[in-house]
Amino acid sequence: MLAFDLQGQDNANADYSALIDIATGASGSEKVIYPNLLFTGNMATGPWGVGFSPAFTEFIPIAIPSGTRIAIRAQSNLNTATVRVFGVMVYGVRM
Amino acid sequence: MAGGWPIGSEVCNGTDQGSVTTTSNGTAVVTSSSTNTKGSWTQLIASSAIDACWIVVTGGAASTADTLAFDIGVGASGSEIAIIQNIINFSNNSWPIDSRLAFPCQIAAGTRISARAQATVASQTMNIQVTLFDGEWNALEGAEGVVDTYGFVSSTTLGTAIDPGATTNTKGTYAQLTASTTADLLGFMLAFDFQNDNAGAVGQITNLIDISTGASGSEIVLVPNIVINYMNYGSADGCAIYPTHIPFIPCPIPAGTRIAARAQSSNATATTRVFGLTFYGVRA
Repeated sequence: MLAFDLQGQDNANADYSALIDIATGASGSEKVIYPNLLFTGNMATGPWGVGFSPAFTEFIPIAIPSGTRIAIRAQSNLNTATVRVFGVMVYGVRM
Repeated sequence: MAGGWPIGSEVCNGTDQGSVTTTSNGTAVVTSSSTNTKGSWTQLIASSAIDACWIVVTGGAASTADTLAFDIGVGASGSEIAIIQNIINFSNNSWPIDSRLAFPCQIAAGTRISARAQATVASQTMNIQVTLFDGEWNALEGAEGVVDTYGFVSSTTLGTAIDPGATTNTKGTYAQLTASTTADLLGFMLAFDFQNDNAGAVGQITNLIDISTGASGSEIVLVPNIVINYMNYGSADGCAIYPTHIPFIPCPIPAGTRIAARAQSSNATATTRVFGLTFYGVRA
C-alpha cells in the first residue's frame, strides 16, 4: 500500500494531477511493477489548507522479495517548483 | 488465465488503461447535459493488453460542488456491459476528491474497456483510469467479473441516506441497502457521500457505521463501527467525507441476503448528521 503527503505545502490554489510509477530493481535498471498510478489534489490557499486524494492506495497483492530496492517516479501537470513535490510512503505487508 | 479471488495473494503485470500522459491524468469522460443521467460511453482502451484478475479503478473530477457516479463497461461500442456501476465520487468547491477501488475482476485480454458517468451538475468532466493485474502461476479461478451495486439512488446520484438519529453517539435505525442480494458475493466495498448538504455548522463530526445482514429487526452486524470523518469547511469550500471509500473486504455473502446499515454520530443536527452509503458487492 502507499500513502501520500504534501510535504507541508499550503501555497497554491490549483487542481493538479499526477501519474506515479512504482518500480523495483537497481538504480538505472528499475522495472515498473505498477505504472501510472493516478491521483489528484489541490493546494488550496483557504483556511483548510490542502486537499489530496486518494491519500492512500488500497492493498495491492504484488509480491516483492526481501532485499528488493523499491523506487518511485512521477509526472505532474503542474510544474511549480515546490507545489509539484509530494511525499510517498510504501507499506509492505509481510508474507 | 487466473480468474480472480482467491488468487494465491499475488498479482503481477500491472497495465494501466486510460492514462493520458500528456496531461498526467485519466481519460476525460463527460457526463450528460441532463443532471443525474448517464453520459455516453467513452473508450479507455480498444483492446486490453493482458488477461486480468484484479482491477484498480480510479476516477475524479475538477473542483465543483457536486456528486458524480461512474460505470466501467466492457464490450464493443454500442454493446457495452457495465461490470461495475455507479462508483460514487464527489468534489467540493476547493479541491477534487478522487475515488479509487481495487477488487478481483476477471477481464480477458483483448477486451474493449470504456466508462460513462453522471453528476448532480450537468456536463461535468471526470478523468478515469483502470489498472489491470494478472495472477501469478499459482493463482486460482475466482471472481465472475461483475460487481452488484446496492443503495445507489440514480435520480439523485447519491447513496442511500443513513440517519444516525437525534441522539448523539447512539446507533440510529437501520436503512436497507437491498432486500435480497442477486448473487453470491465474494466480498464488498463501500462508498460515502454527504448528500449534497453544504449547509450546517463548520467543523468536523465523526460517525461509526455498522454493516449488517439479516431480516429487519434481526440484523446481525457483519462489520461493526466503521469510522468516517465528515468535514464541513463552510459554504465557500463545501464538505468532504474521509475516507471516501472502504477497500475490498473479502467477506462472502450468499445470494438472497438482506443488507442494511446503521450509524451513530457525534452530531445530532437533523440534516448535518445524515450521510449517503453505497454498497458494491463483488460477485464470486
